[in-house]
Amino acid sequence: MFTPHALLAKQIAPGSSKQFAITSIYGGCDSCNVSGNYERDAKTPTLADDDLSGTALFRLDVTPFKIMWPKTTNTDGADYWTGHTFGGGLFASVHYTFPIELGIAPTVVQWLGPVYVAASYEFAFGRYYGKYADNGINFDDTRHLITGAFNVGGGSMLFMNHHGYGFGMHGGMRQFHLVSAGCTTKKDDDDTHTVGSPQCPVEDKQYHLQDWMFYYGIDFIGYTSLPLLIESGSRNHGGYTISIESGIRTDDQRLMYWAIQWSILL
Amino acid sequence: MMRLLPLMLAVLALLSGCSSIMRPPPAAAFMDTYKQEKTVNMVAASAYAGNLENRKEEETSYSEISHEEWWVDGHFAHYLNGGYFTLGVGLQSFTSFLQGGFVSPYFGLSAWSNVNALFIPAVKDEDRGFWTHYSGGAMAIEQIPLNKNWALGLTEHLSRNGREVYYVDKEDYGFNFDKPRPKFYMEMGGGMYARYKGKKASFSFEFRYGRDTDFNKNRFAFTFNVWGLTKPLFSPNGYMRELAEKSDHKREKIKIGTASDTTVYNSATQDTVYKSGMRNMHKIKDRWFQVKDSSKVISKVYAPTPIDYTVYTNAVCYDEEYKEVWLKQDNRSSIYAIPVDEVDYCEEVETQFPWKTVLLEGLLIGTTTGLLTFNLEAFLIGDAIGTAGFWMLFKATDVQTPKNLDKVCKTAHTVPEKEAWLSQYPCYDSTDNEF
Repeated sequence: MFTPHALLAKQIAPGSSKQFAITSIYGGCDSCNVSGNYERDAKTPTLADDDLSGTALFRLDVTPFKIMWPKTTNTDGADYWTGHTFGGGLFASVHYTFPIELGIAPTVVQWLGPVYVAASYEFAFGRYYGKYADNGINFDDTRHLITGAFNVGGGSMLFMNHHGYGFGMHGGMRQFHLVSAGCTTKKDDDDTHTVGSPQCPVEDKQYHLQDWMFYYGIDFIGYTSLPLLIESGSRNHGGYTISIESGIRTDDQRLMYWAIQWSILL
Repeated sequence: MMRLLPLMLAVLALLSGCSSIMRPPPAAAFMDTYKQEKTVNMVAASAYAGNLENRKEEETSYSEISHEEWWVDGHFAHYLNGGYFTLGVGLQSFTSFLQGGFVSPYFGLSAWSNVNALFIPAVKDEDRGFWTHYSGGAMAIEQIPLNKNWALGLTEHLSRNGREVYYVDKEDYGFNFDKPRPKFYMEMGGGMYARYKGKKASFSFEFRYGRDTDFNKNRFAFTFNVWGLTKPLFSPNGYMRELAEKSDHKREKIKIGTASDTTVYNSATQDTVYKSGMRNMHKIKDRWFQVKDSSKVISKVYAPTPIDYTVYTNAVCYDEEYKEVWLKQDNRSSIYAIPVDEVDYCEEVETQFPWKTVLLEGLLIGTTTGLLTFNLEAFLIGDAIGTAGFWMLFKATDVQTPKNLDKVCKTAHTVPEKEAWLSQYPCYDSTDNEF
């Protein structure tokens, strides 16, 4: 999500420059027809009931590198500081998604008055595991894949400067990946024990689907900006964001995700 | 009373469960939020009249429906303002709602929605459509000030209102009690209000007419609305103000000065000083100082034991005339004085990066991922990422923990000893104040 980057680029909490975020993402493809741009290892997959790659209860995002413009000179804040009208930033965020996906995403954000536009390209390396038909993980089937995903979006925020609260909306389009390392209905080597019901929709075959989806979300923001750093004994201004996002595929297939993100800005 | 309102709202919101029926909330309190730095808390009561669907029963072979439109509502709301826009949370009888919109002295646009519709239907009513339980609307408000206290307002609204019906399933023999169900209808209408604005509280009387366009009925609402201002329950900038006020309050009892952020080399004393007026704050390596009373310092106070207080500083000077030791506040530019008999110098500060905590947190994430997947790689990568993440977080916040804190300040010095040590850091040059 671009919300914390946008908040950093706005410099509404002057002096803040780093962000840490924890995201929970729920979603996937519910018996949808995998008919997009797929890359397959064997026969054409027909129906998939799978998770989007990178969707998990736990995703950690850290932004250690940044270049922001214009330079914020008064990091103590000001009484009527409302952030940079044309603030922007270039960030490199790294992420880890449970259980094993690592990624890096160069991200650019530019504010244009009350709205911002943003774009990122996320490289992710994942070790993906196969499944049994009952959705159990099959650690014997693995697949390593490097994926790339564009994400373009924008949003707007309203700030209550007296209180240090903000509210925002955002939306955009992003690429997603469905990565399957294979699904099997047989668990035992001797094929005597069949696991799972119903049968695997795409038996034994690995596949990788990439397509676009829309997303939109709302943001709740808290920040400090008042010039009371010294009096309050505080070192830096900071902030936090809570965002809820939902994504849906552009056609009528049942592919969607819900994500909630907590982030802190320091 | 007003301070308890948010708590009452929270409890009532919990009790309200999944009620989704709403009628338009009052307008005057919302308009009064314009440029309010405090929170506006509103309580109101409405009575409804006209063609209410009340005490009417329908019976089929398998069910009984009893129409019980409520003729009275209680409203509670809590508004926060950001200049020309306002957001609020509230409760209308048993329905929790969100309200927001544009406000100005003469014109406002308010929109509201029940909370239930926004969050529950996506899960619960998937088959019946996203907006099945939606109740909300929008209202335009024009306000005309008559004098300092009184104003008149006009409202026009379009809304999807809800009313209560009770449903009994005759075929469900186990629990055939009256189950409450919402019944929704579209309404458009207008109204007017008179508002009195007092110093501590304000009130309004509001009348509203609404035409039910689905069932062709007329309804009237009479509302009495009272509101007042309180400090926000919590806000980040408010929190900062509170810290600043506490600090100011503490500073009133402490002798305080400021020092320059940059150091200069003092040729007279041949050391590096932060210049502070005529005072020379000698730069030293971070050193612990034990203080008798933690209320006499403005630095962060460490407590190696329950009865010890220590602070550390990187600049010090001794004022022989007033028998005062001046210390610099942590890494800030403030300096403060403590009488020499209430402070003692201790060892130099040794700090360390909290590696143990970082590694432990990393291990925790690694163990969680490992246990959840029964997978060694997940454990190792979770461990590495968790450690790196916490390392970055601690670096970003500049976390350093004191080393051997429980071993410092074990040797007490007598006043002559202290004076002898402090005399190497005089606040004033012996020959001349200037350098």
